[in-house]
Amino acid sequence: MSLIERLRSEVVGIDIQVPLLSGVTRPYVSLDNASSTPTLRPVAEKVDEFMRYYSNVARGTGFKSQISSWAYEESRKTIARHINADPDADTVIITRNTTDSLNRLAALLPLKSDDIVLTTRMEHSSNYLPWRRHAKLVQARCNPDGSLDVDDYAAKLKEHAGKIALVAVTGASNVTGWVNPVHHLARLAHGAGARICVDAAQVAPHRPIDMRKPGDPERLDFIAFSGHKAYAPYGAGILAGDKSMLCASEPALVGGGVADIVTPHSVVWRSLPSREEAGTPTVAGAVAMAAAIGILQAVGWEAIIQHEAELTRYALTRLLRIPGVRIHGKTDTENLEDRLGTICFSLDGKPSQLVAAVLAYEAGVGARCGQFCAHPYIFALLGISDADAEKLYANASCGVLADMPGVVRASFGLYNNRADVDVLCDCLEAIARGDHAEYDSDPRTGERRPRGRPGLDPAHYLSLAPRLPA
Amino acid sequence: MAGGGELLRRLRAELVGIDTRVLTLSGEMRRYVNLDNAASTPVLRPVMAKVDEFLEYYANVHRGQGYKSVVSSRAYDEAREIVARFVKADPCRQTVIFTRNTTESTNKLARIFPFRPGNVVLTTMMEHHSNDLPWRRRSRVIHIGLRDDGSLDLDDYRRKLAEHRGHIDLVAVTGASNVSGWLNPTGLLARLAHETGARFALDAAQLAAHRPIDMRPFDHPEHINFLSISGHKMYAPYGTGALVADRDVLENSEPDLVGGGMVDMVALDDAWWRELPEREEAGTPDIVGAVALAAAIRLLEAVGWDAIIEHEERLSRYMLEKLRSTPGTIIYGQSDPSDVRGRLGAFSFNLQGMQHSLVGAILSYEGGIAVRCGCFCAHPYMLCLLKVPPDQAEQVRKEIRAHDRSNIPGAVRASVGIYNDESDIDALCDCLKRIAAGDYIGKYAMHKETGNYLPIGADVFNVDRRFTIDPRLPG
Repeated sequence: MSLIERLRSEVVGIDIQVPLLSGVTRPYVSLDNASSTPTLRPVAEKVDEFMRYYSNVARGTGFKSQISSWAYEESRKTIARHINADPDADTVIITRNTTDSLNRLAALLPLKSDDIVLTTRMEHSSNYLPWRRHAKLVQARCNPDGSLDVDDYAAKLKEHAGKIALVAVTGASNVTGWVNPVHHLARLAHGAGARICVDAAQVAPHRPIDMRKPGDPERLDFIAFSGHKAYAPYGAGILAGDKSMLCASEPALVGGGVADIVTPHSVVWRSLPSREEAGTPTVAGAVAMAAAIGILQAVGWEAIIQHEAELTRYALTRLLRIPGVRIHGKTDTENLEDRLGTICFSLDGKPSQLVAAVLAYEAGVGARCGQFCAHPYIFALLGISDADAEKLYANASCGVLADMPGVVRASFGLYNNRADVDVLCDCLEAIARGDHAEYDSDPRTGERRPRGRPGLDPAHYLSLAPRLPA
Repeated sequence: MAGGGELLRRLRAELVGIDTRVLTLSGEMRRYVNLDNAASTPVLRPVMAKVDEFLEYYANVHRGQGYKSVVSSRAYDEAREIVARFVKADPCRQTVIFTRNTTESTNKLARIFPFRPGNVVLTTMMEHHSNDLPWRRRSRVIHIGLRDDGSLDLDDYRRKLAEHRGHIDLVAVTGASNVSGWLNPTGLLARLAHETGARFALDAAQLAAHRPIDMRPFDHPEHINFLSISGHKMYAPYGTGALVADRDVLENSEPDLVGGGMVDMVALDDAWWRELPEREEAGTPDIVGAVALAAAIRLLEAVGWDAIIEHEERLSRYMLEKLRSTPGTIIYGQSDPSDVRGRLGAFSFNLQGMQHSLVGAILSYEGGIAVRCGCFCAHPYMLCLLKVPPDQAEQVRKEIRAHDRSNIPGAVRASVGIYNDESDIDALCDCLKRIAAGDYIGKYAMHKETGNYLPIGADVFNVDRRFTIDPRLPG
């Protein structure tokens, strides 16, 4: 058995049984990895082992403070090497998650309100809302299949050349899985005098990231990603990039650990990365990220990419045979290099919320439905007219979200297998036949609950009460 | 079921890493003694076990319909309720926002709070930087003075309230000093602040694991409008803290961070924020951290405040008696063993004629004892406690700017947690006595840039051989 196959049994909670409406229980099938991944047992073990040595970092002389500080910095180095950050020019700031990283970058860059940030129509809201606050946003269009229209991107770079402070683009769509040619985009951006930030939240656990050396025309100037999408759901993420650009006149957050000198009226700030890590950092989160990276590296990108491509090919093939299933984005089962194993689809005549509910309650599948924090992209994929979109926005502004069109997303991690795809597709076939229970819809959110059934059985619900020592 | 005192005694054995042994300079393996709890606490085994159990069910929150997403979301919501009840937040008028730590909580509040131009924030000279610097960039900050013993000068507080009456947006005070352990009379401070029309923010990072907190109802004269805590000082070092806040202030401001999970709907040029608390929690939250914090709170509640306070006061009396009988010890702040009710078990001191960081190094390398040295991110307070003359302070600042910390003023801090006992204090004070008598074996050299002392020619700790970050690979 290869390492990647052995990892399945190392997923924490892989054997958790789910009570289904039919009364039987089934192992939970996790197909929501684009949202967040479970952890792997070696990662959890490493965190538990680390906890034996946990102490605060920041120049403590105690034995455990030294171990903690060392482990924290080693984790930082491991992350830096993983994305091939430049050891001299770049810094890696430990944040909470990608959203935190991108907000941080937006706060640190010297953006003026008439500066342009060029992003795309396929972004997660975390990669355009922060920019919109600080600068003028221009978005490159997508093709009808949801992929980035690189010609439009190049045209917009040309049109706004000289005024573009930053290009902010995702490494891969969290909806369709399209992988962007980031190095090509970087080359074009640099040609227009702009720096480029890659939101690597989706791509990091699936493809190698190579920031490349400063001065390289294809260099990625800033990288943001989250541990929780890369098998380390312990509350840490990172922002990496050029120290000189991240060293703003003032740190984004101020407090403990960021200042060398504080008087009642003046402050001398520390150097990076300390100055951007105010307060006590999550050392456990950083250690978890580094441990998960260690696993990814041991498995190797070739095996990860091949496994994902095979699974995606299998899933697409099965999905395309189900009557009424429409896949949004790429449906090609041959060439899978430029996509991740994130597949989004609709079932004709079945609202996405219903499909997700049936999958959850009748098959034990954790998929996700909705707009995935990418409303404009979803509307474009679904071919919703601007006029209809206006109506939906009007409803949303009144808090009515029930009629919001959405899609269902299944997304793979490195531990998923064909059996998982079979559970998904068998259930979708049943739904297509109309072979499912009745559900009530929440009038505001549209969320479905099985009609006439109690909610989740509290007996199956985890209690937060800790064991009391006997 | 065991009573609170008995339960508390049992927690010592439940501390993760309590049995760690350290190779000291003499070649002897010694028990690691942790007296650095004011910086961060280790985790308790029941908290870690709860985290490991939760991870079996981990999935993202935010309205996923899968079984694990439902379980995760419920656990996350319940953790929020546990935090709210723990600090007796007003359930209708306040909300709990999970943050990374206290520093993030105070920064978030500072960025959201609608400061009015020309108005002021009152804080104190005893604050940690995280309850001082965030306000400075948004408002004019006025520092309330101290008494000679390092406690808050209430007369000066009243004076400054009167002087700026009607123009004070916020009073931001710590519940207890992270340096001297002095407790502040938070109810009284809040009442006086409200009488001038100001809101009251409490930095409870130091307080939360040691004394009960009662934010009181919104219309109560002693209502605490905002409160910040950190899990990592409460036996839950998993990267989560909280900001408990009046909803009206948050609702009437733009969200601090923007991105996923905090919007109902996003158009190309518009966005509809979600309700609180989600609108202040952009991105995927640290659900594990929230679960850990909740489990730690449940443990503290099971032990009960009577037992926790009794234990800490007993250790405080013992610590002060022993420190005072150690020749050459200067204790900063409250030092009377017969009157420890106004303090936490955090003790800052120096040995006459010795640099604090040298004392810390000897304690660590020869005693296996972890304390912390320096200024504890409270420079203005330290300079007051140490009575450093302004010209000397300016000279040191010049040196620090030139990357030389050799003469940095400071103290040694020992701080106790729920699991410490008299034997830990004995270990500390025995070692201090030897140091004071010159009875230590290492030769130490200072690293100018950090101001830390290291033993010359002997790396006994070998940290990289004790722990590796490489994970086990499935065989």
